Amino acid sequence: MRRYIILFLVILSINLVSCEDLINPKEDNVLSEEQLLFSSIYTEGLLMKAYTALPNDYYFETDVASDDAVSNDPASVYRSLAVGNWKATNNPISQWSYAYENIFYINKFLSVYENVIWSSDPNLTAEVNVLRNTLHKKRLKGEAYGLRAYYKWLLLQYHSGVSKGGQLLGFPIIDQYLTPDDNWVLPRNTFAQCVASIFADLDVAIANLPKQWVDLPAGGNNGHINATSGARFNNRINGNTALALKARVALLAASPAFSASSGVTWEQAATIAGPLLKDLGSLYAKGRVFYAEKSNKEILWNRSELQKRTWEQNNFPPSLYGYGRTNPSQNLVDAFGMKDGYPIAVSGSYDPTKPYTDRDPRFYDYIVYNTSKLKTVVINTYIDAPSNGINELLTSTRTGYYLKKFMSESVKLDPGSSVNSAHNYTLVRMTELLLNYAEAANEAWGPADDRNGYGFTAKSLIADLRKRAGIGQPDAYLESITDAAGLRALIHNERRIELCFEGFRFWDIRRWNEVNTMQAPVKAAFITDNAGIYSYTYSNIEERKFDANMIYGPIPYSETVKYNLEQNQGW
Amino acid sequence: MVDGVPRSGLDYNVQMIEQISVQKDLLTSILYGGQAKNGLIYITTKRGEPLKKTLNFTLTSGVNKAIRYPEFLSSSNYMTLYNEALANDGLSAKYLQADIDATASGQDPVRYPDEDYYNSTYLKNFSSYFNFVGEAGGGNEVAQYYLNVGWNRNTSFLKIGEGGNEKNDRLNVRGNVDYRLNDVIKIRFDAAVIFNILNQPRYTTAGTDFWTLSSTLYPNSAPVLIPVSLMKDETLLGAAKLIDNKYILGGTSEYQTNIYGELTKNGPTQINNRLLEMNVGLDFNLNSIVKGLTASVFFTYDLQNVFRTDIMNSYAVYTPVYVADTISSWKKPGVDVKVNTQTLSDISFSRRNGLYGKADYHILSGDHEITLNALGYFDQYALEGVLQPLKHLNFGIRANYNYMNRYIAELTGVVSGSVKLAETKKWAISPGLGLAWVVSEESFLNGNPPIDYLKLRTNLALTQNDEGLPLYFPGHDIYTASTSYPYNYGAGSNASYIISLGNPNLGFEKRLNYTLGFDGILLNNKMTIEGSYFFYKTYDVITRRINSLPTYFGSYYYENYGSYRNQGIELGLGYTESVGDVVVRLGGNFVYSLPKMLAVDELNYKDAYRKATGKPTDAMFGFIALGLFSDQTEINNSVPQTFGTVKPGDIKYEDLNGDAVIDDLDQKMIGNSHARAEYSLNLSLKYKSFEFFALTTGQAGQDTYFNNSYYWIYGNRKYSETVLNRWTPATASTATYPRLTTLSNDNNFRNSTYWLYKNNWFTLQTVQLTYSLPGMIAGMKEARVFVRGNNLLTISKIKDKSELNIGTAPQTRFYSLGISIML
Repeated sequence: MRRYIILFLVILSINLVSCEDLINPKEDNVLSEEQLLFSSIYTEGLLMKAYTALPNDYYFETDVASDDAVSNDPASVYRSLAVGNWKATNNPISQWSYAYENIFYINKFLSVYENVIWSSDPNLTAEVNVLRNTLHKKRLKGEAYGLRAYYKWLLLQYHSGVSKGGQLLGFPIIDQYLTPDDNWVLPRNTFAQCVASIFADLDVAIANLPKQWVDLPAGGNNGHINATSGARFNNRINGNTALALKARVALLAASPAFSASSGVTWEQAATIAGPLLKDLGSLYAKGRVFYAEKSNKEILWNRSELQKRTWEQNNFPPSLYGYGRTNPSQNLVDAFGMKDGYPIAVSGSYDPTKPYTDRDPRFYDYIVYNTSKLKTVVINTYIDAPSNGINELLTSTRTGYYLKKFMSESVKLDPGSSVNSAHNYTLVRMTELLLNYAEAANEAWGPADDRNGYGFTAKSLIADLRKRAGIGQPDAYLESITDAAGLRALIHNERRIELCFEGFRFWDIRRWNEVNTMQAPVKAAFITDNAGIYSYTYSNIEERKFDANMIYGPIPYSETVKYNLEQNQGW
Repeated sequence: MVDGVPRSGLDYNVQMIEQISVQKDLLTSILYGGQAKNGLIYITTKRGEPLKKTLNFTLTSGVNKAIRYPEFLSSSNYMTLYNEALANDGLSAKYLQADIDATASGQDPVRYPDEDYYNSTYLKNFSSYFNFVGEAGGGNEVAQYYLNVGWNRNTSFLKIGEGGNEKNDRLNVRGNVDYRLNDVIKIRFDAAVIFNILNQPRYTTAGTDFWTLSSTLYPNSAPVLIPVSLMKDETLLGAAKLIDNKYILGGTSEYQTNIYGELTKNGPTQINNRLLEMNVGLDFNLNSIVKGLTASVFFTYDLQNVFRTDIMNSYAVYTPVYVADTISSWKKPGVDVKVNTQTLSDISFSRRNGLYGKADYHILSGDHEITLNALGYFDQYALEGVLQPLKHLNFGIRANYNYMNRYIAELTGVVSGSVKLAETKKWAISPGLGLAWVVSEESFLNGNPPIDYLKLRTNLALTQNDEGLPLYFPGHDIYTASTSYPYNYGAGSNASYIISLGNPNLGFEKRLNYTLGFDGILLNNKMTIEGSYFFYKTYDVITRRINSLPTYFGSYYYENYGSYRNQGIELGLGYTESVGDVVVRLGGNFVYSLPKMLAVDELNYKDAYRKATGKPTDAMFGFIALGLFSDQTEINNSVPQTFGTVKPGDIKYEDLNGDAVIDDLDQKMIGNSHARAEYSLNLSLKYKSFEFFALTTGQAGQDTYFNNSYYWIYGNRKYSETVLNRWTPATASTATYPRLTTLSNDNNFRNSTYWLYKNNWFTLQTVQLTYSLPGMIAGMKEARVFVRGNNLLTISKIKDKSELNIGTAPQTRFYSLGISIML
């Protein structure tokens, strides 16, 4: 009997013993803040989060909503945006939550990084560790401020505008780490304040980062400098990139849509861009197809390469097994001049019955047109051409052109035998800096004025650019332009051609206040094939339904109702 | 809950169940912790009875008949209407009239295909069902046993190739043994093994099957079968894999999927699901220590393994290339592959183990009766690949006091631990109180003929549970690794770390339950009646206030914020009467409920009608549709709609807030997605050896959208017969569908009253006729033969839509015949 009582009690007590432990979760690799700050690698991870969020693929979201291209995907939200669906309640190109989330991480990083030990290698002496610790912190400070400025720039470009109250506003500047218990009811700062804030961040970055990530030759402290800010940090933000970003932001602020109260003039923009351009020297000869290499003089900041074929899968013509998504427009094709440097409307060598002969060499690099070759396959886009013909299949072009820029011809998409190739996403490059300076200098001082003595003028830079592009020398058309207005039109066009499909066009026509261009319908080339003789008809295929206030983007509606955040006019 | 262990009830056949009770009595269910917050279905399985040998067999065989299939347009209709859609969008026509006419004539189905998949080439008239169960039980006073073996098979409607072999087999074997060790201890052992094997065709693209393909493949894209006589190319012919020696598969590089090929040449798939359940327990009869005290302890172990095998064959399709009117060459997208090996994938394991202890004390002394129950259990569910197992730990006590079988009071208290919450918030107490008054025992009612039994009851309970917590919340900020950022051209890479903001105050979700009701037996035990009013309020629901906090920390910060409530009434009636030799039994149930949302994370809209707070929890928000625009003048005179360019034939919406623009703010509650009233009626007639049973169910108060790819047709969707009523300038006054389009048309295809229907229905759910044969063969105690029909009839205004399944196997009526033998 007693045995059974004991047995029963033993079993019952099994239920009660260490019940606390029973209900604890298993040990896992989730870290508390203490554990995070104990390791420099984990702490740096907060900054790395803001890096991993950077784009890695070209989807041409804003390009298919501009007059440069259309998307052949009826479900594309960017196509829908362009034909009248751009609203504060539905903004597929909104950067608001994306940028603020990453600023949140960078602010957290900045609030904790000072007290973390960045160098504690037992193989080095204590003094060396202290030195490296200081050098690491300097670089990390520069990177954090630089990256934060990048995200602030996205907010500035996509969301600033003239508010309902009539003021030119930017976004709420958040420079500290906020928690839900802090006061996060912050109003939008003025545009000028935002620009000043971005400049301040970039100045810190420029002061603390090396211009480029290179290894110095051995000797003295160079070994430690290399270990803390040498070539091993390529693909991260550096001094030159920060300065190039500053030039980009300055150009935006000096543009007609913003200059009224931005506090930045064309002259200031030129003065920011000029020294860096002088420092970088001449253009890279193969810069037209800079994306074919993982690194070169043209690229100031790009991401590490990845072996993939997504870009080609999305944009190759159907006969090469692609989806043919991004279709360059006739509007863009018409912007490419002739090889002799003249625009097609002016040039004597333009033949409307053979529109693709003797064009600007960049046209052949960037656009696939009727009868051109891609991967040794002839792509025919005339009406009723099998597979690739205009509107032939759901994946065929709608404009008569396919995209060639950024596509790697070594990629194979054949099902069952696909081949990847290395792709790098470029964030900042030298040609953009050149065009930024040329535009600013031309507006500030005129085509041939080297006010600050950099050794080049707006006109000379454009000459270099066109020479690299392969325009026949001497460049008579450029020579014929002597006034700022004429050069402005040429600079705008060169910018459109050089930087096509890099996300600039959509916002460029807006900062230039070009409402008509913003609202211009997109044209396509309908080519009829008569036994090898092609005849061309151009007609509108897609409208661009933007109201005049859509020079500026909207603040997300959901943010304006959380607390009284002012919305932009007309939205 | 099966025999005291939480399990899925889906793996059991009816024969192995001794009793099912639905415990809405909160005070019992909360003893089992937070998992039982919505009530408990308690299943007791059969065990052997001493000195009672049983041996039963039941065989059932039945057929399913599809109620209806989708109707898609023929090729020529589709081509004509697609051209109309292109014209509406301002684009040029895609199909030449000559081609449309050639398709309509049907003279050359290879060049101008017109494929339909809902016919006898692909589908059988019936799918079949077969079920066999055998059980045996018995034993003596010391040991008892029970064994149940069952096999269940379902086939599908597909006819050809692997589709014809499509079937689902379930085998289960369950046994239990009770052994009385001595007067105090009894050992119980249960084991069950359940195998579920699904055989189906292997489809090339994951997520597709015959039903999805038949609702997306166009009728005119390619012929399914091409007669082999058309192929003159000897080399291609030699390499081709023929169907029935007469056909080759048709397709193009853009439309490479051929349903005939998917079903016959793509190989089979088999999905295996194996479950093992085991209980070992000890029951203690402790009357010798304390009179009225019993206890039991048991340990459970369940193991489940699921995996999939495929034979990854593939097929090539052929595209004839026409020059003038003859086939000049062939294209051959795809390859014919026949593989001999199986590919294993989708493997998962899971395991559950638990430890339960129970002690019961019961004492009856004169008019006083006291029952005490104490329950403690711990269980843990681990899924392979998931680091943290789900754990539950509960201790509960219930005390029940009954005075004279007339006044009853009950008190329960449960302490639960949560594995997901921070140290300081880990434990929670859920109390409950219940009172009952058996009014019929009172002198003023006792002996009163109409009322044989009447009990009034009420209970109030607060349950705390952590079932809704999606993650683990240790109460402080936590960081986990995310992806890496590669730099230095791939030579370096550092992981990025993500924060999850901690809330030290985060605790259990709570639910307050209150019921008030009565149970009665009237009219000399002929009528039973029960009714109750219920109210429950769930609050402190874990929410992320994404719409109130700035975006960057809204998605990381969890709080106890949400709340909602539901209240309603339930009624049940039963009536039994004998009319001569016939025993008639009628029964009915009715539930009416009204849910309401009290606090939910949403945008701070200015207009009350737009907010979900204060509305029913299942509110459906949409636009008020005023009809279709008849012409451009009407569009010009109406409020601008901001969902894209609007043309005649598009849906016109109402401006609810008067701001002269139709946008996202002009939505209000236009319906609710759950039924408000649900009811059922059953009738049972017994005459000598015949028994007839019928069950009907119904509901009212539910609204539903018909907005899947069959009804919302735009872009590249397959055209169904709903578009025949589309708007054209000629049919403007009678059109019931907007103008056709090949774009995505955000204006028309959004939730609004245009697509909303009331889903009230009444169904004849089950009808069964049973005949009991007396024992005819020696040893056979009884035999029963039955005929049954399920889902025989539905009365509903929208049944042509609600009975239609798109993209999945059809809804069916089920007819079966069975025999049950007890030896």
